[in-house]
Amino acid sequence: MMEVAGVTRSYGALKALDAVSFRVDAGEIVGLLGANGAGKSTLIRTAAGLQAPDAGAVHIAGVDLWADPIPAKQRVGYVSEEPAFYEELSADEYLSFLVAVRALDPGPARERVAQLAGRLGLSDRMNEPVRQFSHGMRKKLSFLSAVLHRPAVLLCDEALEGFDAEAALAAKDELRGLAREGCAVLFSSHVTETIERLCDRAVLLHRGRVARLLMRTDWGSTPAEISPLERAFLDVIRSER
Amino acid sequence: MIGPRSHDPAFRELRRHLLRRRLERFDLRLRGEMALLAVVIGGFLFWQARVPFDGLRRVHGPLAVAGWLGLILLAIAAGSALLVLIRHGRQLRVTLPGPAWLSLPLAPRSIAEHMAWEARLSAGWGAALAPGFLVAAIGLLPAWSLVLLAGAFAIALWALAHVATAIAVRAALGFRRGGALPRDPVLELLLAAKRAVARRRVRATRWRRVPAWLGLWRKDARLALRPTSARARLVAPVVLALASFGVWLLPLEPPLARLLAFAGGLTAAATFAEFLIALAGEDPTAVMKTLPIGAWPVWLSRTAWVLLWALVLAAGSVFLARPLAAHALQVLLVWETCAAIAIGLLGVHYGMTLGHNAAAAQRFLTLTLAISMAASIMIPLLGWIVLLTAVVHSARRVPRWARIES
Repeated sequence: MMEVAGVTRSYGALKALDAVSFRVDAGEIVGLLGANGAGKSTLIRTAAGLQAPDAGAVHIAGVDLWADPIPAKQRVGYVSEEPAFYEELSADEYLSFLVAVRALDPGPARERVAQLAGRLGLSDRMNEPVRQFSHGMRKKLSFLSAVLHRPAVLLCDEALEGFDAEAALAAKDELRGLAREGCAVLFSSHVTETIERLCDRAVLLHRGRVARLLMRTDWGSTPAEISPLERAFLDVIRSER
Repeated sequence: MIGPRSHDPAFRELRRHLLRRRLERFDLRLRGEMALLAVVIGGFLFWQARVPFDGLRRVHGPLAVAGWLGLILLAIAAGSALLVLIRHGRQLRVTLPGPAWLSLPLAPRSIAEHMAWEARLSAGWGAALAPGFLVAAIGLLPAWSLVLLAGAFAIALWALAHVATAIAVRAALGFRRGGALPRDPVLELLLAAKRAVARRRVRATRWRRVPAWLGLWRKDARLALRPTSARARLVAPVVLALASFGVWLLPLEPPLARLLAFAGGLTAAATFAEFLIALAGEDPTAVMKTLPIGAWPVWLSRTAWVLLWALVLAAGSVFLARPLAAHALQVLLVWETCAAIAIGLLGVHYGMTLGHNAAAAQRFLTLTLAISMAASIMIPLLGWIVLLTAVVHSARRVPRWARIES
């Protein structure tokens, strides 16, 4: 599980996060909602170890991320809003590099990559340099690299943005599967429908503060998993196979 | 049809904004460091030129000084124009910097002219060398003639830079001759630049269980072989190393050959350090910082490059420096290898701690090496002390590499 305790972060005079505290338990998918500039990305980047908080702490499965970063990062997966890669490496080379530095067993890792790439629609592009990828494909690769090692904590910053309907369904299945295995997922999005469909709880950030904590019961009925338009799209895609 | 002239005010405004923003990117400290670097380089050139100029004046009179100064300034202008030619030729072949230019309602010639302007900016780096020589002639030539020479230099720099961009365009158009008939050659050129990033596949990788540092090293090796900015940086050290080896094949006296080979080895080591910084610059910050690795594997993977390079330089000397006596060869090997390792480590440290801003890291490296070189010329061995101090100082930041923010 992940615990954010009194995290404060400023950019000059601007207080992007102001004593933010909440926790995501194992097996839980928690949505992070907020307007543009509310502090969602700053919070996720701080929890991923990309920028240190001015005050407060982030604990990943009981390990203080900023005091003991390596064991903590071993347990974290991070899907970036604007993913960056080694542009000249192929997706396959990039993932094999991650497998090496995360000290994963290459055999099972490769099988998992093949399976995930198939579900996300990346299979036939794995040996192309990432430079040639579209925005959606880059997001898929970022997602794949974040879940590859079955992290204990998964941080998703607008993770499904740019996904086609089929890949979005597959990614949501994967997120639910990881949660069932005990992964704590923090899912940031400005699309409320996605949060309603996917999350067990939601944290509302406003001007760097936790404005409200919402339970699933607070937002009533969950929208259908697939809208009629998405259904039509999927029918066309699948009929061509 | 929109004529190219009609967009001139827009481009003028764009260039003004670009220049202002680029200047703002250098914070006050960095501006101070760059000014210091300029003073050091200027001082070094002054140091080198003043005495010969003074000798020339005594023997041949002020006209000879003016002639030599003019020649030097012309050579600087020509060198700067060569830089412009290379940069413009490259950007016309590879990709167009900036927005999706061809989607804008602009005449291709306006776009090409803007690209040429971007390339001509690099002439400014060469111009920074001129003041040192001009100052060295103060008191040896009348003030009016120095002003005249400075003005002539500025005009020559401007004119040669324009000629260079024109040659680059001509050459790029020439390469395309024989293809489909272009309606507008410049448009065809720009379209070709956009297509330069062709879709390609690479060989499937072999997944192996390797230590983290080796995983990082293999990734770096792939990046060094692919068309990255790091690979572009690898050309200079390889050429300089070959040149330093080639010195031993020339009919030179052993002491002179040793001096030239040593100088070649040092510059090869310096440019290799630049390559290591460029390699670090390829690292996506968000990926590297979220990985469960400490500074050690990253440092080790990059230091392996340094050791490998030092070994290559030493091996070249061992096999080719046959004219040297055994003792002299040993001395050369020790100095060359130690220098290559120290300079390489400096590149590793700056790359690790400033990799998110590779341009700043490159400037720090240049500044350190320039100060070391100037110190060595003024007081023998002082440069080595400066260099080793810089290596130790930069190493202190390495353990905190993952916490340093861009």
